[in-house]
Amino acid sequence: MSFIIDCATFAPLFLTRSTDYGVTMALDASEIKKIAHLARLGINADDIPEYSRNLSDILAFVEQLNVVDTTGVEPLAHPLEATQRLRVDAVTETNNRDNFQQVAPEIESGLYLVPQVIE
Amino acid sequence: MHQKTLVELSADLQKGSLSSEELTRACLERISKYDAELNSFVTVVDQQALAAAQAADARIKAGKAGPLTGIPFAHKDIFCTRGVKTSCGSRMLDNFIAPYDATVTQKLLEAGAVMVGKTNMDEFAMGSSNETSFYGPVKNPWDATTVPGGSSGGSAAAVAARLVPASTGTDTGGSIRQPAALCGITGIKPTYGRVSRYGMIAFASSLDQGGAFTRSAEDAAVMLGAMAGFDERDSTSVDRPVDDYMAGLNAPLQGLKIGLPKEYFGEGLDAGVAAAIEAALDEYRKLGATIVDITLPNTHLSVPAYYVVAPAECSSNLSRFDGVRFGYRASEPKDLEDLYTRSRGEGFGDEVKRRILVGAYALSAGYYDAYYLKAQKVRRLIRDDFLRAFEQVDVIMGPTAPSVAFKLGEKADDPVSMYLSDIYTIAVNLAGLPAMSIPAGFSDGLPVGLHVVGNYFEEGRLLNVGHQYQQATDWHTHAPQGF
Repeated sequence: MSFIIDCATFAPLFLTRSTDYGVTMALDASEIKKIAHLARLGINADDIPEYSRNLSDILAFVEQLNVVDTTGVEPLAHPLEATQRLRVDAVTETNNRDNFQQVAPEIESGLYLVPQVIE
Repeated sequence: MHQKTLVELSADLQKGSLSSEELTRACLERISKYDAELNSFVTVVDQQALAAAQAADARIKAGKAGPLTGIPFAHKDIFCTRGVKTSCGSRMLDNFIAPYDATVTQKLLEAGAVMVGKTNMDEFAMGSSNETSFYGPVKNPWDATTVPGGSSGGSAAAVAARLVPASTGTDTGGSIRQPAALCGITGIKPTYGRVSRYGMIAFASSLDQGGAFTRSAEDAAVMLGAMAGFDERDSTSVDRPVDDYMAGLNAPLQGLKIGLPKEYFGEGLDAGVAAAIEAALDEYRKLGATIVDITLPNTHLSVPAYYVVAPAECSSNLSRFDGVRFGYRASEPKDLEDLYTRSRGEGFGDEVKRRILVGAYALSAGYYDAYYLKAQKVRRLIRDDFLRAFEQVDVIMGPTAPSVAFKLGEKADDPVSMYLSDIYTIAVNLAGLPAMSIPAGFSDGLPVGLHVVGNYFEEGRLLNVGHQYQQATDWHTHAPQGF
């Protein structure tokens, strides 16, 4: 028995390029900058064309999701559909501030320091 | 000594023919001899390991030892280890000395296992080749020009090279099973919620799950038995007793029904890999199993669904890295925005940035329904495929990866092609099912992994199915040349 089954009748597993779907989803430089700003993520201006190309490829790839009809399907947030467990409303944590602040970049009197926010 | 399995070493320790200190020293010597080339460790903790080994020897002498007492292991650098650098393969955490232990760390140390070091990995577990690590790529011990797989590449390479008998890993889309396959060892990812995520640095919280690498299914039963269990500090931990994984290993496979999804054997599967899997299935027939053709019709949607869900959750989880409380901070920030933006921009590598951007986009106003919600709906369809299949069969089998280990650099510049190396493993994470990869021969001289997927909480059955195969075959005993 051979396990190399002809899959022509099934949706191919190995489509890889936007052209495979005829989708022209693309993110331009201004959109990349906007998303980077939303994520507070510094990116080099020189790298924007590559991000634009990579992200467009990835988005085109995920466009495949639109070929399936999900009318009436509930989103699955948790694989076992478990709901959040509640704990007893009791004090369980001790103060670990000094321990946790040992790894902080900059602290003073138990406070985290950041650049001045209010002039 | 280094060719012995965990269970064999454990027996030697109990008998007193070997001490944990001797064993630990031997592992540390092998690490110093081979790891400059392999790069599987980020941190080695010689002194701490030797002290733990001496404590283990005392415990064994006192008659209070368990099966892991005195056994050296390597810990993926994603698990927090108090007082030891926990980098997650990132510049962002290169200076991070964890102030607490992950639950998995705590459980393994309480069992008396000896941590020898922290292993290299793709940055924040995002990658399938270990090439996105801040600490450089890991080499595959079978062929130093190829990748070990990822993201738990260091953990897999260290076990394959016989540097340690066992290691830990995490699996969000295949990060235990794919490197286990590419390195020719056994790797198990349990049911979502079986192993605590507390102190395991989060990538995609609804998919992340800890597990283990070993050289045999029997050894994996010991590791998983120690790692699994309910933890109130993880809100998605499942409150249910852990099965005795050792007890079921010897059950015969007569009558076992193995599902074979036709979707896993189509275009893109390397012929040598397919032949090895076919031979493995023949072996299972000889052991009394029957093969049942099944269908998982939404398989082709699993990688696209994953590459919405995982980046979305990653962009949310990684927002905690802001240069304020821990981790990398950019020098001389001019204001708070600049502090955030440059700390993140300089602290994260390319692949992590790509995924944060994709996730931020998918979750941004106007796109949430089109991407995230759509992907979560498709996720249900993928899970339902498995539920239907498990009404007919006991386990599902196929290849773990579509090819053997690929060359370093081969897919590094092409994210989508890299993502497709996890095509058989990703659906399992979306469904939250347990799965394992075991060695099943070679193609072009490189190891092939057999992927075995079980129903929820049937880790014991997977280990039984792996162990019986390993009693009948010797693929799992093959060591890479020179190791």
